[in-house]
Amino acid sequence: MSSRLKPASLRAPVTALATSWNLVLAGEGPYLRVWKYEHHTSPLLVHPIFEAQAIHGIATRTINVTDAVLVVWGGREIRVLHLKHEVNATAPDELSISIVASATAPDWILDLTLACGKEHSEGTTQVVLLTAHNALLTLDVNFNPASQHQVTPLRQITTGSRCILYAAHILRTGDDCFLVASGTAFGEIIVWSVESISSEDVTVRLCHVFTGHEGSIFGVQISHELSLNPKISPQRLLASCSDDRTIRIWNLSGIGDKAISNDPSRTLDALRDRETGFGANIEDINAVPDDRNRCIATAFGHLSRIWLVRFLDHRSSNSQSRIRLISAGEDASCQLWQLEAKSIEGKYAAVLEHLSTSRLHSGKNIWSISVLETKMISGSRDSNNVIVISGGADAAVVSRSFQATESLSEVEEVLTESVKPSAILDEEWTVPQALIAANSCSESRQRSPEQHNPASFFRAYSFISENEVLATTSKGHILKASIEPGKSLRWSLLQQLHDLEKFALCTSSITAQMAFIASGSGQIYCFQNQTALLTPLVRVDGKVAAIFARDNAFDVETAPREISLLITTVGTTFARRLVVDVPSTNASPVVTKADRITLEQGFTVTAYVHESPEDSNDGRFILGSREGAISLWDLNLESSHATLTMRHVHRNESVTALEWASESEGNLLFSVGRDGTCCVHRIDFFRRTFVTVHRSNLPFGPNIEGLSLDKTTGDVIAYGFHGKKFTAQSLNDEQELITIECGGAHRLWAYNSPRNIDTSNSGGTLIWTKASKLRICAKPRASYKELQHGGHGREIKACDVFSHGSSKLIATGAEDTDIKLFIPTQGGEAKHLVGFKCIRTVRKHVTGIQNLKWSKDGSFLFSSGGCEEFFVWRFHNVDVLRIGVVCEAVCPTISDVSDLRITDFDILEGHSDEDAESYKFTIAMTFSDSTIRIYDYTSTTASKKFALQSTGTYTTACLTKIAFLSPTTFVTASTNGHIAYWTLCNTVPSDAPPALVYSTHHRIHQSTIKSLAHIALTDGTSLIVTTGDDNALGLTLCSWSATTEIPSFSTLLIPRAHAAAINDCALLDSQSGVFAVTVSNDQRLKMWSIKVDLDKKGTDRLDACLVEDVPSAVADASSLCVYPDSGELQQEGVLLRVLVCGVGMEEWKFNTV
Amino acid sequence: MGKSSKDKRDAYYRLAKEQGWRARSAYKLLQLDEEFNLFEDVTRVVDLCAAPGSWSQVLSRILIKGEKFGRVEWEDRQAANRAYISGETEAPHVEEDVKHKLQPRQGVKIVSIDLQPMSPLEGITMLRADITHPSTVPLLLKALDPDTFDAASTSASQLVDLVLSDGAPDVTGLHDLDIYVQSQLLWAALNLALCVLKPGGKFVAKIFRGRDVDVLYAQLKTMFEKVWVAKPRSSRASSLEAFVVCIGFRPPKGFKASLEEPLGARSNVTPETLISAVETVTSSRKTRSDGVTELDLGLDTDVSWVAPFLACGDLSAFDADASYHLPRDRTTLDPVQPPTAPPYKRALEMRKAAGGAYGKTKGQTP
Repeated sequence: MSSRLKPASLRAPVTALATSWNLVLAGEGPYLRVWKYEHHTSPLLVHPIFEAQAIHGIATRTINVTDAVLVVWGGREIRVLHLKHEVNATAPDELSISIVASATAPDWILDLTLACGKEHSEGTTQVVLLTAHNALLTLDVNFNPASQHQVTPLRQITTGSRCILYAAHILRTGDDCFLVASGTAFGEIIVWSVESISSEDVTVRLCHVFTGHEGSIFGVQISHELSLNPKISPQRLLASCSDDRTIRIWNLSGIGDKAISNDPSRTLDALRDRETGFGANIEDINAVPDDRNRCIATAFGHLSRIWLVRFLDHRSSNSQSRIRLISAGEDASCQLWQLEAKSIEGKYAAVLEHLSTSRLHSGKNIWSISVLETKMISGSRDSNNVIVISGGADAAVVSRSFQATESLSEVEEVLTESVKPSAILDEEWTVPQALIAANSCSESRQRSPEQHNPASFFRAYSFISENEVLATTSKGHILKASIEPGKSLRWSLLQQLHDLEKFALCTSSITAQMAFIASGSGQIYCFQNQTALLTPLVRVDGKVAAIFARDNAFDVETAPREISLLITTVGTTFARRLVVDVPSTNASPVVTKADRITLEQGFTVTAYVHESPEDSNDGRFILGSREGAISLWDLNLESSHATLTMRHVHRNESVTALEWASESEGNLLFSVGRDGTCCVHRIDFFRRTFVTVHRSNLPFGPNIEGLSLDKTTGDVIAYGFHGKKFTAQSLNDEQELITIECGGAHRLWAYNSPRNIDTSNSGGTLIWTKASKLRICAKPRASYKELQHGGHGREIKACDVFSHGSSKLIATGAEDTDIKLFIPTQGGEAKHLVGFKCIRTVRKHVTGIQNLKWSKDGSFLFSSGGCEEFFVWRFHNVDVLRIGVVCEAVCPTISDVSDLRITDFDILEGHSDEDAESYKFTIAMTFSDSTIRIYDYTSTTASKKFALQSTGTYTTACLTKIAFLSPTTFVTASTNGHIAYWTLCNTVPSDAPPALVYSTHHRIHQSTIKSLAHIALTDGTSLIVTTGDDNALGLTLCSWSATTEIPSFSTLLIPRAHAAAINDCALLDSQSGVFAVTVSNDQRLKMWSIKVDLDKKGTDRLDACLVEDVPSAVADASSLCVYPDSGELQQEGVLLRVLVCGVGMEEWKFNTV
Repeated sequence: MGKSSKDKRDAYYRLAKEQGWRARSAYKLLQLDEEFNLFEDVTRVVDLCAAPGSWSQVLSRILIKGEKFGRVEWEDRQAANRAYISGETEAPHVEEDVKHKLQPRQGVKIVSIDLQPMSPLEGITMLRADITHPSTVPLLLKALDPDTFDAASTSASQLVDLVLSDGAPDVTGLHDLDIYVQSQLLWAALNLALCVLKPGGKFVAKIFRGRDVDVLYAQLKTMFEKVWVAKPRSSRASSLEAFVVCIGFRPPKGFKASLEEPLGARSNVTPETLISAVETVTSSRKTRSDGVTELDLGLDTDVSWVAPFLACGDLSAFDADASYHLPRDRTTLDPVQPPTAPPYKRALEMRKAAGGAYGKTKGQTP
């Protein structure tokens, strides 16, 4: 039966990953996605495997160069697929997939492995699987590309245990032989072997029961034979991870040997009579004396439960004495471990050392990992690298690469928080060392006595070109360090000026290759890199407080013709602005223009930029202050005072950097500050307006110290300090460029960001002072790839879609306290189920989001959360950012209940005044303490104001929903299953806001009303649709008139509309009739047709029937939204989209006809 | 989260400490009883997955000590209120001395089973055993009738009236796995119940209302006359948790319960004798006394059936989802029983020793 609801997009936790050739296969809900690793931007193929069951595992076996058998499983379901992959030299790869067979296991499948069949024929694949009750089953797939595929029915090899398993691993050890590790809920690991699996007399032996873990086993893996200890022959190891937060390595040597396992008690049946429970089997018959020594290493590392552990180096090699493992868990981190043999008192032992942590998923839980060997990837230079791919609850699929075992010593140095490539340059210098190095390079080998004075230190750093840094010392040296790939820093001493001994400040222009140095006497020197000339430029009175240099008046070649300087001095309220000519020949630079401006009292300049760098005649510039203010200046106005000063742009914290970017509507000003934010402002000098159109709370900080615009990509790089680390990050996709452990903020430093971050692999260069020494570090970009971008890391609690013509913007709020903005990726069948693109993450809430709603025109988004959080977000179209968003206002908190949730709100939009920038909203909010509040919110250019209009108390039941039926009446819903009817006061509020009282309430549900939607049928009649925790769908006609205070209700209730709580509903009133869409914890999306005949009486006026019932891939679905589809209409009717949000998000297409 | 902030967030957590319950879940059983009168004529009860023992505590106080809670107390309260409103008596005293009304029952036998050890409760036999294990059946039968126990007999000389199970796994966050594990616990409890329950007996167990829960309801319906899904008000609306209340055990003819061959969604051993107990209804309308018209669309199939829902607990009872204004000067009580040590206790200690959650994570290998 074909449904009118068709799946359009899905984003769900990635619960299975596998690799085959250079393909990455991921299970996301019931869908299989396949990427080619090298072309990871969009999947080659998206294929539905199950109707509703989520994929929990994928096993692959290549048959020949183009064909592979794929077995995909989830829950009890198994599908056997044929994957055909044809590589074309000229055209894109051709990939096809077809389901060959399906099977159902009697129980939940924990692990499944593929082996070649007993006949060793290429075509036969043996499928071996283990269930959650330790039952082993097999299935043979006779794979024949030419003819029909043959699949035998499932054959049970062992009967199950009673105790439930949480983890299992099956390893093929030889022809028809398998070794199985089963991890129980009670912390035991049972290792057993199966021989002659294909024959009738299959032998099953219990090998060992490992005890020691103090919590459920969540992950196990048996290794191939590895030589950990060179003195001992290669052996198998078992890795396990548990609820007890440990990873343990167990020695399997000698286990499964026939000599030991001839013992008749060592059958699996012995296990059935074991007592289960923690610590129940310490004195166990199966425990051998050396049990303690079997656990050769234990390590702690993850912050919470560990789900997976895998050996990275699976190949046996005699040279390796160290083995690496990867683990992943609930804390959404992937951790790299190294196992090294260690002999303790002659006993066999090892140490599991933590190497690095990679946090590339947001929120909680990595559910799947897979390893890809780089030799599979075409064009790969490092054929020995290992790539680890992880899939998370956030739906992201991320890969990162590790060096192979042979060059492990390099990996050892990578002990940073995140998996990073090793540095290209990482050096440490003292002043005497630098001077010795400079002298040995220079022709005159003179030695000054003070060179060995250990008290000398560096005073200032500045980059003068992409690979040269200028440094001054406390002995007045001016040194230049050149960075050459693969070499140590090359030093040269340029000059020694006594004037620079006590004081030096330095700034530069990399494009002009000029540096400006301010001395203690107020002398400003200019250094030209090309001519290596140091020219005194100008002298200022007093001590220089700050000096800024900006490029000016660009040529076609983008080299500046002028540099403009801004210099402030300590204790004065004026600043100098100089324009310096960039000489094209060997001539000395000259000051062509000098202005003196008067600063306001207390305005300490911390950032400077001029408006249009292309125009040399423009006297407009911007200053940022230490108190968070930004002021605009226009020297053309013949005034030495600021045109406009905006205070507290970055609260009371320093504005650390300013940059201009051009857009179609004029120019944009970017600013960063020590309040941890990056802002974008639209400025009009002529009208003297300054509007902040975007403010991002960066995920690092709060000391955001700098900003650079990538002219080629339009992206913005913000950098600064986070704890003891320096971090640079791109603003648009929040990709990390570099992280360096530098000791923290408050030190001398300079950073040169990479040009063109799209093509460059560089993460930039940082030079800083740590413990009186110069440190310099350059690194390539963090080596991770996002095959699929993620969404929220926790379950989504609310969503709303702004739809205007073809433009759609999805706003989602989640338990992870973030608000995210997505655009649906609409496209043809090829892009089927591609997903959603997150274009912005908005961080300000500190509690889980309860609800969010757009204003009609999409200019505003309102969001509510716990702890009385209610924020007003203003949206602006900003080209370079796609969208700009600012938190415009925060509703004041008035309650003394610390954890008071604003469970819902509804908005009435008032008449906007003549002023297009003036908005008025009436906002009604419900609280978890059974109270309501009505606010008027007005937003004008001048002010943003909340005014409390009225309050009210319902009972003590938590209110869950609120909706305006008319401009003066509204209904609320609550946990007691009632809806209540309220009328707004018309009186003008006096001193205290009036207390509202509900006029009547009406019981619809037995318990919590989880959603409420309504449409007006006539002037005095509305249809209210409610859904409850009681599995019921309620249709209520609410009629009122101006004369009666109490409305009448009549309800038609569908008690068993879903099998579980119905969390949300949406109503759509189309030409084809009224439809209700409901979504429930039973993971079904249902559509109901509602017939209303107002000519009848009572509940006879209402009728309903179920028209659609489809399985949803979104668990814990909390909210849904219906909006018009902008796609072309094939036939009559209305094309709609339905968005379902919960653990992931899912979009459906629906045609009403 | 500290106990003080939990007090503000959770009315039942606070109330449990004030009224001496080991866990807030005691209210769930009391509210189930308010609706279903679970303890009527009940003297022999088995409490499965009982730790930390708050349900056993309810059984002890109602059946052994004869205190009034739940349904009985609610009826008394209603009667007192009615009497007060009609002017027959003075305002009912909340602080009445309960001892005057103590009515201990005769022949009470309560056995509580859990894998974890529990603090003893007066009059209750506690077993530390695995409910899925066949050896637990004779153990349980012996505990029920220590005097008349006959090891050769496979059934209890006197069967039990009620089997309870409030067992839940540690949820992982992987939804379908959590639902599967919970259904396995339910099957384990049911299989044991089938061995000891008298015909007409009751079975109450925790269930997660998630995907395919309707299949589970249909399977339970083949064993009991009536099956409801009940949600006590003390259970949060945001939680998947609910309780199946199965009344009127009616084993199919020829059915023999055994833990050697347990029933379960995973086994193919559903006896042939089990006929679908679900009568498929066609669409029908029915007007209730409160004027609401119920529309049954007859959506059940022969494998899935949605059990009728019943919210439990008085509407005036505390609301598990609401925030309450607490007096400023109130004191925060300690929990009646401290939480049992989690498996990651050692990991927490080690992390603390290494400088906390943000301290170095390296070099912790022992």
